[in-house]
Amino acid sequence: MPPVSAAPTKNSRVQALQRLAIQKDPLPSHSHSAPAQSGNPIYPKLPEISTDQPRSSSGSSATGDQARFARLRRLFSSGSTGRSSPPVEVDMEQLKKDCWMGIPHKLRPQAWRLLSGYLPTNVERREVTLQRKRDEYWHYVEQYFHSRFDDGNAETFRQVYIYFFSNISEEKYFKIHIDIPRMCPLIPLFQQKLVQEMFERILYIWAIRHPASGYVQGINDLVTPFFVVFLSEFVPQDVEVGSFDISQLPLEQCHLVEADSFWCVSALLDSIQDNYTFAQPGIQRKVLQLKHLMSRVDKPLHKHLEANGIEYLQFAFRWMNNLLMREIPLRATIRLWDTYLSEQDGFSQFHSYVCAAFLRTWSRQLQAEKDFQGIMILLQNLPTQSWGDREICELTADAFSLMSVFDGARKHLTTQSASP
Amino acid sequence: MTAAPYNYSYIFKYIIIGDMGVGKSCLLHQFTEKKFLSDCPHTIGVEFGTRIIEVSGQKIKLQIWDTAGQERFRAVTRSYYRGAAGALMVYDITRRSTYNHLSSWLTDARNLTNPNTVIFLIGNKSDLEGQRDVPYEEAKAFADENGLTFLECSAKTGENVEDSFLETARKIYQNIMDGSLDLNAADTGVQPKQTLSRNSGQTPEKKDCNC
Repeated sequence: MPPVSAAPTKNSRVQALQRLAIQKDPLPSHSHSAPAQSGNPIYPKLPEISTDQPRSSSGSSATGDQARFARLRRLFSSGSTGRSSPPVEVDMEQLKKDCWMGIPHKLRPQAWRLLSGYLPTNVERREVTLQRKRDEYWHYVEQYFHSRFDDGNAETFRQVYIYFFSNISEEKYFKIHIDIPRMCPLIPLFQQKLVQEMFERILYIWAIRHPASGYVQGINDLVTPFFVVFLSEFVPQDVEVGSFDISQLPLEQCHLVEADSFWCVSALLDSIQDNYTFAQPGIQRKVLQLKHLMSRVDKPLHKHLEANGIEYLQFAFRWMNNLLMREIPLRATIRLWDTYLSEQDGFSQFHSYVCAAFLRTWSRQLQAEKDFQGIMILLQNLPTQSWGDREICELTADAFSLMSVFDGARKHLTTQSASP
Repeated sequence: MTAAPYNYSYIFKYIIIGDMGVGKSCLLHQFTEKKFLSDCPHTIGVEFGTRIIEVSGQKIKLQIWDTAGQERFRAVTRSYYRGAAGALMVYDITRRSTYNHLSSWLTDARNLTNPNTVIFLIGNKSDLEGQRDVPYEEAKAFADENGLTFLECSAKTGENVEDSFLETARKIYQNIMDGSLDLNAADTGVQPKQTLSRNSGQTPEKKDCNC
């Protein structure tokens, strides 16, 4: 159990853990509550921040949230407002602590850039670094992709490309090409040709720069949260990001969204590379880990699955390969990534604990299914359509407590709470 | 969930294999839901589908594993071949490369399944006649050469989809009836109803067949 009990008012994460420690069943009360927002927007907005007054009903964490939101706002204020200028150097530990429970939507783009290690912590270096990285990306596009459309350059491009990357060029391009239109079919944003071309470039450039894994289906999904978050910066308040018409955006801003998405998804993929190399050892290992974990934290469910011939790889492969993105709505994924980006090894380690917490969320329903097909069909279609901030808060808190118990996260917690 | 979940005599396990984008998931969806999914997301690893059919008066539950076509997932999808009673091998009649890869799919299927596994060849997207890249006769000759049953289908219109799944089941059932498929052997991909209840032994109750 988490050893931290002193000064709970300072840390809302600890509060959430304590709340959870009291509960026996992770999600007993509101399995199908309606989403807070109407029309299922894809871009998550934390309820506490969309109004000036925090809702009194939102429980004990409201005060804590207010304090951390204030800290975050100060961190990202432009400084020109005259009140309190932001610090020159961002305290990453503090930032991670403040972002772990969810990031206010307006601050999210900049916070994600920082947490991804893309934006320098030092304010003075930011402008220069961002410009350089964005230029670098467009240089890649120029080098690898752009010339593809130009008849005169096509052959040179092909030769250079084949020389470096053997025989995979056309096959790889075709693969990505086939994936893009099949992406998020229900979200209009991703059906726009302009958006699909942006994704093609991002994926293509990434794939040719990472020949060891190359493009693997599912990687396209991992671009979407970054894309939506960075795009949200330029989408008017009253417009839903998922139905935004990207042709209304100046080209310069499109370029910025694309380059930033590329660099951040690259950083993410670097941390889970063995998920996508030959035989996908990272995924095999994590699924095994999930199985071990479940055999200890929810034995009845584990036994139920085994008795019915369900193998973890049969359903959890996708959970690992696509980081649960196929299982929960995009807005919940984005909120989940607030936490992943704030957690040490969030995508590579913590995710396994989140999967265990996720699986045991459905323990009762799964045990009510009495045969193989019933269980498999449910596992492939878990009813998460209404999921949002609250469910992710509980999921991540549960996962964190699992990690504390099973991964010796004692040390981790101590260092976390050591900073003021 | 449903009433009388044990109202069937056998479970047959199928796999669907073939190159990326040939329409494997759409075929499965058309078969289980009788609907065409125009924007079907690509399959990650494997996906599961099920439907009860009737062959010679016997109710048979099909457990179908739809595999991802991408090469990278092969390490995972290969483990589903073992224990398949039927394998639907799919190519796209509008893309010759998917047809050219059939021999490698077939090698995999032969090596990794059991000798009794019924392999059925499907040329999908028969609704796109104008874009045809593989003549029917050519594929038919390939099928005959390799002892496969062959049909051209359309997951979009539903043409021949039902027949492909049913014909495969008929062949498996026939193999059971004439004794060439030994129900007591391992990994046949066929489970008589009785072995489903965990307390009873492995001996299947002999059903009278009306064929």
